[in-house]
Amino acid sequence: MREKTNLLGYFYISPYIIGLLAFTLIPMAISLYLSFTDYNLLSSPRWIGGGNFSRMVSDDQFWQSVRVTFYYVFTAVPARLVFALAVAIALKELNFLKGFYRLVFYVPSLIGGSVAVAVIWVQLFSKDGVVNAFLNTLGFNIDFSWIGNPSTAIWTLVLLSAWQFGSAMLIFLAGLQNIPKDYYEAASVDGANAWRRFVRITLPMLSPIILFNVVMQTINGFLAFTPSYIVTEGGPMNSTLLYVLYLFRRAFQFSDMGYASAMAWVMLILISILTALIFSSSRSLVHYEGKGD
Amino acid sequence: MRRRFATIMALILCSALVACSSNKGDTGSAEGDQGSGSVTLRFAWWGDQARHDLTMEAIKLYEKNYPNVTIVPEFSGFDGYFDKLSTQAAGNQLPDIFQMNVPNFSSYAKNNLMADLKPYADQGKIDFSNINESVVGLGELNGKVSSIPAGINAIALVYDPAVLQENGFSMNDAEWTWDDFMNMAKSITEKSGMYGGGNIESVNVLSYYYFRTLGSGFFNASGDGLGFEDAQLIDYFNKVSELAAAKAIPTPDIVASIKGMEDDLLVKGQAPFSWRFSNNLSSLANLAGRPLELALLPGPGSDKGMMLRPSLYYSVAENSKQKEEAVKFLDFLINDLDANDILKAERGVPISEKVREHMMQNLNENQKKEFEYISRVEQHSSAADRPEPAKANEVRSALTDVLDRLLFKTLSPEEAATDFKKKASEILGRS
Repeated sequence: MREKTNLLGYFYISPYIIGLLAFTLIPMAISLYLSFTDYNLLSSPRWIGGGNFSRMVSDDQFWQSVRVTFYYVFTAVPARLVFALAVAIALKELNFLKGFYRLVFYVPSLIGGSVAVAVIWVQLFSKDGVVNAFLNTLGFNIDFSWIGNPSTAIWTLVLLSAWQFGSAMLIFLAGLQNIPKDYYEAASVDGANAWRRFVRITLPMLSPIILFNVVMQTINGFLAFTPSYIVTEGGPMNSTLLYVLYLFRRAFQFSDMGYASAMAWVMLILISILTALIFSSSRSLVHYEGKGD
Repeated sequence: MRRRFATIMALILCSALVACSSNKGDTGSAEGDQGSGSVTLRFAWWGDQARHDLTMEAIKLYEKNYPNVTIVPEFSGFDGYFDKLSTQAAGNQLPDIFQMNVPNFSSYAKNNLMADLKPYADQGKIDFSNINESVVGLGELNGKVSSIPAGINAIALVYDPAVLQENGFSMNDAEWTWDDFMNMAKSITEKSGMYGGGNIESVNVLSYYYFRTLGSGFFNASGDGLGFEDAQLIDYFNKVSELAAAKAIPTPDIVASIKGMEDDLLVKGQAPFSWRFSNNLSSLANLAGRPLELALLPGPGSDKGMMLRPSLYYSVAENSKQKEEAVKFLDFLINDLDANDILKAERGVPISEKVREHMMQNLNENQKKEFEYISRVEQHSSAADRPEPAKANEVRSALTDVLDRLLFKTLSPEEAATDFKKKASEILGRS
């Protein structure tokens, strides 16, 4: 009888299991195999052992993409989180049209990753774009394209990422509302000013939420693809060649699926190490209420 | 009881799903087996709106002539087309007929993804009798006719005669040299503030023209290495740097913002030249709303440098279950007079002499210029290069990188040449 019940259970979750197998685990296993082969998509894969990995070491563009991606993650993620926290704090104090503002600020997160917005970004930051038109009426005389200039292109992508702060903001907002009001009242009575209250109460109380957001946004940052694919196409001079874009190019433009699979596994290992580092460093920084109870 | 009911319902739903999906597959292959029954062919191409409209109309005509045939169009812009095609190739799901281009031809042909059209020609299923043998040869590799050119074009310099005249120049492309061109470009920039040299498409110029004028080639004859001397590349890089220093060519950030023909500097009146292929003249002239002309690229040696090339190819997939029907449709695209009247030579000058003769009578002015240019190049050209190495695409991408760095002045011409040689030999050594 019991075994029968189990079987039935498996049957009920089979759609999920099949989905997981067909679209995640089996492709991952295949990509692990492919990472040790030379595979051009058109003919069958040829086993080359660690060849792809040793090629990576001497591949300039690979290292360029690693540099660009780290630069992007370490600027875009803090920018987005600071922005999200600031807006969340402002919204928490707001008593007027609360729901409306939350919705409005969340919209960029829903549409920000889309191709349409990336195309708009191109229009905004090109040489004859809206941004230059605006700056020029203010008296600046800018006659270059922000997207086409190697030293500014990456910042247009960072800005695009910071603009999509909505989901991080909502999580912060939920966290902020869970901080008991008494703490602030007690601190005020003791004469703590707003900045002190923020540093001494808000940040520690919010630290588990911040950790969650840092981890999630860092992983998302490493996986960014659309902005550099559509807005800058990796250029100029590979200054916006994000890791995933380079991986995509190797796979589909240069029919180098083995190398691309190897890159994907390197990325997985890299993200795992980084996440582990964040977690281990968090032990001393994150305050969990009720610890030691 | 209730649980048993739920289980049975679930099972029924599952089997219904399975049945549905397998049903679809069955009918698909059944259609392919019957010659006389209804046939569905997938036809994939890339292009802009004009090409989509013309091609859809030609498909309509074919479906009218053969009511049992349905053609499913799969069209897109060029970006992403080959990404999708290579994925379909890996899954044995290539469309029955698809557009192919020169850079990708070799790797698809070498991997036997395209059906050999020769046996079908021998059986009379597709008619090659009005096509010059050398033109059929453009789609041949290792004794197999893997593709057939959809049209013929040649690299060309599109120019605005009015602008040249305003600046005191006239075009004498039978004799002009790079020095003439550079003087013209720099002088126009000085006088008018335009990009006097236009957006010089160095990758195309180098891979399809420049080294040929010097008696070598972009790739060597055996297709496993580069075909030119360092000094020759440095020479070209010096020319480009000189034009860039004189602001006679656009900076790379301006180049990056040119996405389609409507952004072309010539169309927008910011340059007297556009470095293109001959079949782009009509679109450019229509967008610009001014008369434009075609010129041979600067010499010396333009006779050796110029070549007729397939603007693009049509291919039939080796994995197609209905090759014969696909070949029949291909024959229609290439040989049918009505079809070519509809297609308006937008894919380049038609390869069938009969079609060309027929079209000559009612060409518009721009098409006439394209046709005349092609017959002129026919007189002033040498044989096309052999199919390129499979990694040609990646080599070109490395060249684009190096050119960017040259124009952003992070590399000198000498460094750029060394850097490119190193990258190219690494790429070609891998295959």
